[in-house]
Amino acid sequence: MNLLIFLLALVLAIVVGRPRWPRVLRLGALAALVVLMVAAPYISKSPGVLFDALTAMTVAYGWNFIGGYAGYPAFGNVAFLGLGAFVAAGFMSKQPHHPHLPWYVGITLGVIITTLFSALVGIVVLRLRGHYFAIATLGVGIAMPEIINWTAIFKSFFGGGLPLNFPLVRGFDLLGLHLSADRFFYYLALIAAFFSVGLTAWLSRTKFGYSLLAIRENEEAAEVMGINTTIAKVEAYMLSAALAALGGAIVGYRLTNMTTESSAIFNPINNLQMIIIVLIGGLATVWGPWVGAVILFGIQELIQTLAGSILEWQGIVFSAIIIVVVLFLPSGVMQLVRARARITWQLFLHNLLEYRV
Amino acid sequence: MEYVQHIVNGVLAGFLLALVALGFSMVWGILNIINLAHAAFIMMGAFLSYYMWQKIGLDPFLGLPITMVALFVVGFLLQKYVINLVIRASLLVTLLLTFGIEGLAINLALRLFTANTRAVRPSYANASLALGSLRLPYTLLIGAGVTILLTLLLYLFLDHTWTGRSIRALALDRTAASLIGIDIGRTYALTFGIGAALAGAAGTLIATYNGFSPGSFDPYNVLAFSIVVLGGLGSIPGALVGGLVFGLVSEFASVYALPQREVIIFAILILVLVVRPTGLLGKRGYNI
Amino acid sequence: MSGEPILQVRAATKRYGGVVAVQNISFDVREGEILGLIGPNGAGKTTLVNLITGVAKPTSGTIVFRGKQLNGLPPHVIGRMGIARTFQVVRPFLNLTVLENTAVGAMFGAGGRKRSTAEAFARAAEALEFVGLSRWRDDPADSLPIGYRKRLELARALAMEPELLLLDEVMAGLRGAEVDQAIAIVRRINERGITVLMIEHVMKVIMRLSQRVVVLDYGRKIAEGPPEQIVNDPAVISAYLGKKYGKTGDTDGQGTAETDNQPLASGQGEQGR
Repeated sequence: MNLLIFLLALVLAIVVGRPRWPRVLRLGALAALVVLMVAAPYISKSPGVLFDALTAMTVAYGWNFIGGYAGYPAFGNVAFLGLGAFVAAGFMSKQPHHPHLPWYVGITLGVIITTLFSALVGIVVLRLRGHYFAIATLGVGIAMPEIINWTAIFKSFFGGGLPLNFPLVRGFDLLGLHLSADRFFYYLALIAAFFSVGLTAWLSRTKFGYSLLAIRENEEAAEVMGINTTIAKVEAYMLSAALAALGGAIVGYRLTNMTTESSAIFNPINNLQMIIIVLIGGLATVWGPWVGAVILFGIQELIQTLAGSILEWQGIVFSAIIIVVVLFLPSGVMQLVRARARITWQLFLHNLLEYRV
Repeated sequence: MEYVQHIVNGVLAGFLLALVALGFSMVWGILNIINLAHAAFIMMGAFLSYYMWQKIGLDPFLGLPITMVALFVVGFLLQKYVINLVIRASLLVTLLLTFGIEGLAINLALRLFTANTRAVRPSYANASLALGSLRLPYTLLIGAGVTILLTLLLYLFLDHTWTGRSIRALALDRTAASLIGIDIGRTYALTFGIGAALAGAAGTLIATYNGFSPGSFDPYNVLAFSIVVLGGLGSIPGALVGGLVFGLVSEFASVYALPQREVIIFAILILVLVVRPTGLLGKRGYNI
Repeated sequence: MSGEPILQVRAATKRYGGVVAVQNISFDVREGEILGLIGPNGAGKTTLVNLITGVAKPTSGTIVFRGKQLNGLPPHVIGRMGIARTFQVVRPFLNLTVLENTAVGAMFGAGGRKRSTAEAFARAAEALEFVGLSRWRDDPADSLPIGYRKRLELARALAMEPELLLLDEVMAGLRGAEVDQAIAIVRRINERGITVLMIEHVMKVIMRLSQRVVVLDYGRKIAEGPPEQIVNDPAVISAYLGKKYGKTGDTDGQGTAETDNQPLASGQGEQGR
């Protein structure tokens, strides 16, 4: 059933994203998509996977700003994902010495504080280019769990290496409607995902969006044309951190108990996941991360349905997907969607050979 | 005197790290690729040595030539038929490709060899040379010797052979190099193969030094990167110096119970990148 | 077109380590004029433009634009003040369309602050019309051949609504008819009230377009004046053709100023561009 949802989500998103089709059709598809996603937890037996896809998507939308639009491939945004989760947990936790604030306050604070922190990091790290930038950000991603565990600082707030707990959610009541915990988290993730899509759709049409593209294409030219590249880059980085924190906080909330070892949080796989999602879907596109997440999780769901357990194969499948996408479809699915010519296997062959020695 | 022992430990470990960085530096300096599969090559070297030692009792250091040749072949083929396809693509693409290769290799290793920790323990594994009150473990001593030997060989190769010089020429100017008849694709493959061979050698050393499992090699990518940045890209002595510095830093960090080893490495990295991006000894092109 | 100086360069010097790229250069750019900037390769022309646009900082000296000092200002601030430039090796945004390329200029240039994105696109369309690229407005920039990329570079600079336009070898790589078209475009730009400073090697262009010319050699200014005067200036001729020719002062203004540039080299003239 999840597979069907993924498939529909994919097709509808592509319709919405295809530039040359009639407006009415695309708006209709958008409406259908919304309806589908809202109804999904009632159709599906295991909305957990959908939840994972939506939160991964949110984080990927963040990465899209700095890696896709601005052209600065950050390899350590998992740091912000984790920081967002931990800050939110710190504010929401019922453990002693914690303020036990409501979830909407906690998550918001998680996002805000992480974003501010990312500005500090960004100011230093964005002076670097290319490989140096990539690896420096990788370093940020590696260093962050250590920083959080640092017993000298923030020990009581972050738990100092011991599990930090969100309050357990058993259900959610709003205006007489009762949601199970699963569904509550799903809708939280869905709101975050829709928010991310909307934010990207809006920003990509603003001067800010174009300034990022200009920076990506030719930073020196962008500078003399009047773009303050430093500020634009830092803003893109902060955006990426904000959405990463949002996704992370929601993931952590559902996880309830976490330490810096938790595989859902500071896992290097998450680092790569956001990048590969954007790559599959298409860098610097509005629907790319959506499509990418749906495809990635769809494939994993497919394998799980066919082969039973995915756990041992997950790493291998993931790596294989990365290699295939990088070789044959580096511009992502949206490249196909926006292509003017007919899509034949020659396109893939062309992609394969385009950048060789 | 304990202090001196720590310095000795740091220096010996530093040689090992220098070897890790040497191949990485070469690939980066000449192909302009940050090879995230470097850690995978190190892993392969470690496992190959381990199984040769386990199955046929071959001493890991004696088996080094075999390990290195095997890894060279792997690296050469990989570059020639896979990585050469994306050489002119964006940075993100090449990074992701090498990362994908690494992920594939390590995960396959996890499936085939399980995540158990193992180590190569030849008979002299726990013995040390005693110099007064200092202890110099034999495995580390031999490792340091291997590093020095390989560094020397690399230097001679790059400076005194036509192939080596053509590799350096490629780093300086691609177009010019191809104009004088250098086969770029093949030279890239050669370079990458050498990098892989050096990584494999480092893997052998690590296998005798520590316990290892498929997952324990991941940190070596960032470590290699940091060492090369510190020592200076494009400099062989730079890789040595960088390795020694990091060896010492690592040693003293663990001695003074600083659990934040990663943070320290990262901090050094950032400091160097911001203050002196060419590193201590770095220059343009791949100079010796 | 008052003829008052809008850009004043005073004793500008740029040192790169031991190399002095530009030495003690002073001149004015007067409002409404087309000023030519010529000199052999390596004379420091592009460095001078870099100093004006903030891409490089002067080691000493001042550069003042409309009463405001430009020293030390970052390039994007200078761009917004009304100074636009093209690059010698063009720098298009390859993966954006021709229209988008130009629109970026309109969004962030001198007029950009108050403009909405839609208005910027409209302004960009005008600029494309002006240079004659409208037909390709929705094509990606990397599909354009070099001649059209130069025009795109120009359109982008124009979309910024500059008061002062710095052109760095806009004619390089163009042939015959293309050069004439380019000359016509630059003239039209100037007629709109935009002051132009052109770095050029093609003498025909300098002669036909500029009212005044500044000549650089080895980082120093060696001559300044109307074009007819400087082609006969012995110092200028000597800089291009070697001391032997400097005495006679005999050039006919055809071809490029780079022919037979190395008096000491044996028969190695550069191909005319």
